Amino acid sequence: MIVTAMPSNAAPNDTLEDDSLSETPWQLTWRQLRKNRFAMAGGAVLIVLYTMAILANFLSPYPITERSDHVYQPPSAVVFHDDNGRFSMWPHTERMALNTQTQQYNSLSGSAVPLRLFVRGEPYRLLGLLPLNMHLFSGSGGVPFHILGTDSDGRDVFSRLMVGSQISLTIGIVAISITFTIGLLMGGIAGYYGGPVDNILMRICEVIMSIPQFYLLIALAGLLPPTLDPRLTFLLIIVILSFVGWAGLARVIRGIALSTRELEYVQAARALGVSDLTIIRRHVLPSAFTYATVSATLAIPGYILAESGLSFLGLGIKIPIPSWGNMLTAAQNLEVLTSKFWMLAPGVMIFVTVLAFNFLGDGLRDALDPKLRR
Amino acid sequence: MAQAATEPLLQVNGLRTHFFTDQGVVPAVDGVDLEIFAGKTLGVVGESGCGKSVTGLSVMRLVAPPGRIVEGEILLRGENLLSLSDREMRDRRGGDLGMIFQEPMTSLDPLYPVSDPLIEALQAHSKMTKKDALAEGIRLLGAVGIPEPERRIRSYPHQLSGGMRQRVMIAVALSCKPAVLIADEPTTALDVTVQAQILALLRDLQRDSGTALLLITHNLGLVAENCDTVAVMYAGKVVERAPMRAIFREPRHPYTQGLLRAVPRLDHPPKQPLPTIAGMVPNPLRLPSGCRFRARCPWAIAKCATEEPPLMDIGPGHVSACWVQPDFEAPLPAAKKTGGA
Repeated sequence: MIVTAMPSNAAPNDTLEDDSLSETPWQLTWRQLRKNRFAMAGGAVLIVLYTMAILANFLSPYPITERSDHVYQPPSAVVFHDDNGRFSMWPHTERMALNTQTQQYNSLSGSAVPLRLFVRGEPYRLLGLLPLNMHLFSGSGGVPFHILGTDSDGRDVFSRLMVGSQISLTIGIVAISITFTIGLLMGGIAGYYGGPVDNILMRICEVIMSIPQFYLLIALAGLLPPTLDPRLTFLLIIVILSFVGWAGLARVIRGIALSTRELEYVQAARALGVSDLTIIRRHVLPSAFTYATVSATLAIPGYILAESGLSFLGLGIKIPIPSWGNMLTAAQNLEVLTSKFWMLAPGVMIFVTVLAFNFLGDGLRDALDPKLRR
Repeated sequence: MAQAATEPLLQVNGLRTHFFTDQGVVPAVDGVDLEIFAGKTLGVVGESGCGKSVTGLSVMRLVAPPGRIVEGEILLRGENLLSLSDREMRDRRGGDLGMIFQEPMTSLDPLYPVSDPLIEALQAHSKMTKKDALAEGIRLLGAVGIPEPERRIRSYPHQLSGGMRQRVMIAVALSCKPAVLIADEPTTALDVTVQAQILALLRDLQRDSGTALLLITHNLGLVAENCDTVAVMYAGKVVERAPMRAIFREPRHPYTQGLLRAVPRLDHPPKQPLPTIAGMVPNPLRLPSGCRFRARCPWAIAKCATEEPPLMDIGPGHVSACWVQPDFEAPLPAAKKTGGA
């Protein structure tokens, strides 16, 4: 048997070559997340929803406060024929008229008009900056097109749903950003310093956590003068929600910080003369980051629901400024619930949003948990 | 480092660091005196729990609650570190005082590449731009013997072996050219070959920069190879301090002698059990009266129980805290009842 010595070309430091192969934590998380279909679907839905919120004014054919005498009109029909009844590839809509005897809306045959895209109309500012007057679609020839019908004041439900999403979807994000900034900071400081600092901060947390949230919100909302600028109300609600929301998070972060500060690399950073705040920010809090990400994703729906709940009770965003919650208020009575199904659209939106956030949050938790890696 | 050789760079006088636990006060360090000269190495040896590491941490003022330095002074170039404000002390850490920890595997934050602690350290103590700090970091990694430092500096800790990580830690500790480097068991987690490399590296760096090294270890072999002076600690106290040769040739404290006897030797008769030091380290909450070692000491006499022996001068630079000061070569007295005291 002849043993041929293998020429060893490999340099001893070839291990460096796998640097490009090894994944960064984000790549790893993304790969795990991609396997989870529910999470990916949730993420996709959220991207669509938030894009929608950004483009709300462009997508909505009517100004949110524009009333018409078409009260509780069901969604306009989309037909594929023109006013002569000839088939057309292009979607048309028909004028609807109220039958005063049955109180039902009916499409008027022979009134079909083509839908128009990229219509110039009511001017608005995209993202509050870019002045535009383009709207995605609209009826034509004076025939209104209410894709999701109208409400009790004849306002276009779809337009209000779009604009309302701006409030309903941002309230969660903004509230969670404030909550998390405070929670991470307080938890990090309490956990890192320990001792009396920890004690004082945690007692404050307990005091805040013992405040019954919903009653506080109702009480505060009751105190707010009804004439208050809706935007200010919005801000106040966010601040109130965040103020009562950070304590629970701070407690968990504190626990994580408490165990992280014992790690050698924190000790090593201290031995290097790195300042405490830098250590907390760069070495202690990152270990809480995965927890915080997941918990934020799962907490956002809570804030969306809280806003909806408050607005539903008439304590949040005040009509005529739309939010999903206050739009649902209109769907409180049985008559609307049974015969005006389109009024439930905001409820569907809330449902879909909350579900999407929960799916994404669950997926993130699994993807970020090294114990579940396959 | 124009330090007069007669003036110690770092002087620890009567240091007492106590831990105030729920069970009582643990005097982890109970009156320790040490001095280190520029360019020299002081070895601190002793078994687990004798206060070696706490001494090192005390010098850095990094003892965490419930531990507290209750007494003593730590003079760096004549300036008492214990009277500095927290802020001033933070500037000394990394700048004047560097520390290398026991666990290279966990002393680097897994979240950041190797460049991060280097830049962090350099920027904490000098007004370096990030780019300069990075260049200096690469130079340092090269200096501690890491091949391809330009590429390695972008590696994450998990991509490096234990020896590499410890080299990185040394590079970080040396980044600001500390006057005193405290190495707390720097090679415990490493295999013997890497251990030798790391210590050779420390010696080279010390020769080049005149750093004073405080080497905390329980490995007498390391001490023999690297130290100029050795302090042997037992139960929070220095029991013997001597130049390296004297410790190995003529140890006078029974504890030092016991430690040396317990080192396996090539000429040890085969199939004979290694000599051990009988008994256990005393419970720090209930330290015995008199000499803390007397319960385990074959030479103990009545006086040991009543009076605590001070460090006594017994030779040039050689002190030992023992009433008996037995000769190393003398045969051990007949075994007494163990456990009695």
